[in-house]
Amino acid sequence: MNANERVAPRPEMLREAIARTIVGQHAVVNGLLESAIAGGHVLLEGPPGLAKTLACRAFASAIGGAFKRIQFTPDLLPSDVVGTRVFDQRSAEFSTVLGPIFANVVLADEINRAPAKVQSALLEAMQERQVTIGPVTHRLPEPFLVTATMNPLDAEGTYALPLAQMDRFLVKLLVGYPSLEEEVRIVERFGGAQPHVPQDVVGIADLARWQAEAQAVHVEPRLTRYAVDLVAATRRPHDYLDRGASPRASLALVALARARALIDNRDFALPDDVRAVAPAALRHRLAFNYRTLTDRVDTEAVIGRLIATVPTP
Amino acid sequence: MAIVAQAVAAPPTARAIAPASSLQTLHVRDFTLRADPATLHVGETLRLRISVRVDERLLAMDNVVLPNLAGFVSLGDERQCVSSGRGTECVETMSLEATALGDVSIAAATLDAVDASTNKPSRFATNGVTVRILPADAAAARTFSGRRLAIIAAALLALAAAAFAALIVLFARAQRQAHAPPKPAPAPAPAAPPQPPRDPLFDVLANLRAQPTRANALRARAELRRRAGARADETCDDLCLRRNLQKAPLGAALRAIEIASFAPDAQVEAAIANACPQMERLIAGRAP
Repeated sequence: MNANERVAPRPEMLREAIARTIVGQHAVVNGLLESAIAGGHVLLEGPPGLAKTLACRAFASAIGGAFKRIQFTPDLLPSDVVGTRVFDQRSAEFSTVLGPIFANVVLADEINRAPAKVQSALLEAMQERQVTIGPVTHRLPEPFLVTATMNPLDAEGTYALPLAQMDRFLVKLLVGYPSLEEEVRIVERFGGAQPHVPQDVVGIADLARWQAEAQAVHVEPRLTRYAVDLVAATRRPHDYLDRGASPRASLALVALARARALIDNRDFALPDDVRAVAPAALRHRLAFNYRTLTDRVDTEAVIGRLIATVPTP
Repeated sequence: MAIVAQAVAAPPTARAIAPASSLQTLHVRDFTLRADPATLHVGETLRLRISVRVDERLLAMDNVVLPNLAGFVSLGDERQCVSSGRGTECVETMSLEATALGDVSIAAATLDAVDASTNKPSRFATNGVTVRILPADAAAARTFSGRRLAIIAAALLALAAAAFAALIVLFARAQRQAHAPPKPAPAPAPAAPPQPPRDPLFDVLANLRAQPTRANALRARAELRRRAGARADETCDDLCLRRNLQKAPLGAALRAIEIASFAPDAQVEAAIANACPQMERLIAGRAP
């Protein structure tokens, strides 16, 4: 190989770079990577202090694209997210100031702290990948990835995301507490120092290339049927479910399975891929009823049991 | 000279043996050993009769172990099992020619079965018998040729009786099948040592080599999953993790055939070619 020839970066390099910053949380790192390659948005839910924001920042920094962070607060306005038109007194004309959403990776921190109209503005942009400010429609940059974080503990002063808006996220990743060994490593790594964030490990062009490669990953019809069956299983009458997942969940399962196969250096997906991504793709698309609260049911266990009702292809 | 047979009266006794899946489950009501006549001369014929009576309906009694018959020459035996509504009685009669002098003890015969009353594998034993064998007298010597003829006649009679018993058993069996009783008779486990069944993976592998298609790959996958005890909802990784097969030949074969089953059409043949050696290794190892 020519010394000047550059080895095409693989997703594994990105994962390793993020893992050098984030201790543990493999499911979160993998989920971020899979979603980015599948071209979907990520919702991270977990208690404070578990490196949700850091994981998003490390990911954005590692892919070297434009990164913007929006702290969602109750007094945030839609224009603070998408941008606005301002009157220029010197030229006596309106000019457009683009909001922080115009970036490759947008971190919407504590998304449930902003009122519904701000959430709607963001979620519309996520879906349409364009923003209309005044008379002009602006395309968002490609690739465009929103990572939103949510704290499930402090419900006061928050605005729960409706199911229809949750559906816009490709996955919902749960961020759990680290193990004792991991926590020791966290203290040793970050005690008194700013965390090291990887810079430009790969390029935006690489991410776009991976997205194109993922689209070409072969999915057997039996596997597509398996994904659809998994989603259909959530729509059957259930003690703890009011509503199951939409066909968007089936699309998400297949897209994520493709991305997972690509990360594993395969050009075809396996049942393991679909199965592995199913909880993250389904958990935010299911409407659990009040009995999950009164019976103190673990919703993750319910999802696991639903998945187990579907035979593998 | 007289020979005395001393039958030791004892009920069928049971003692625990190592569990064996091939044992019959039986209610053993009677298990005895008799020697007839009580006395005999050298060269004369002793009839040793082992009888078993059980509550179950059987075609044959397995796992009966005969005692050591040193001092006798076997001239033949006949076996008969008769089933009725009250159970089955099996009788084995051995014709023996005494060759040694003195008191000869014949040890107990044993029967290995699962004792239906305790549901535990047990060894039932008959009583033992002692026979007294005296030297051949002059009269016996004079009638040597006649005794030989009698022995041959007895052997022929024994053969005829055995054939008759077999006919009875066959007739009883045919009757049972004709009347088709609602509850099937428990099939006794074959007494012969179990032959290893032909590995179904042989056929699957041969098929796969002859026709490396996705359909055959899926058949091989189904057979490997069956062999690994896969649950319907388990994926390959789940299964390998649960059964700790990640480094085992079965795990490697499962993984290879999984790839062959879901690879793009253009890669199926190559994937099957990669999977076949893994399956061969598995067959060679005969163990996961």
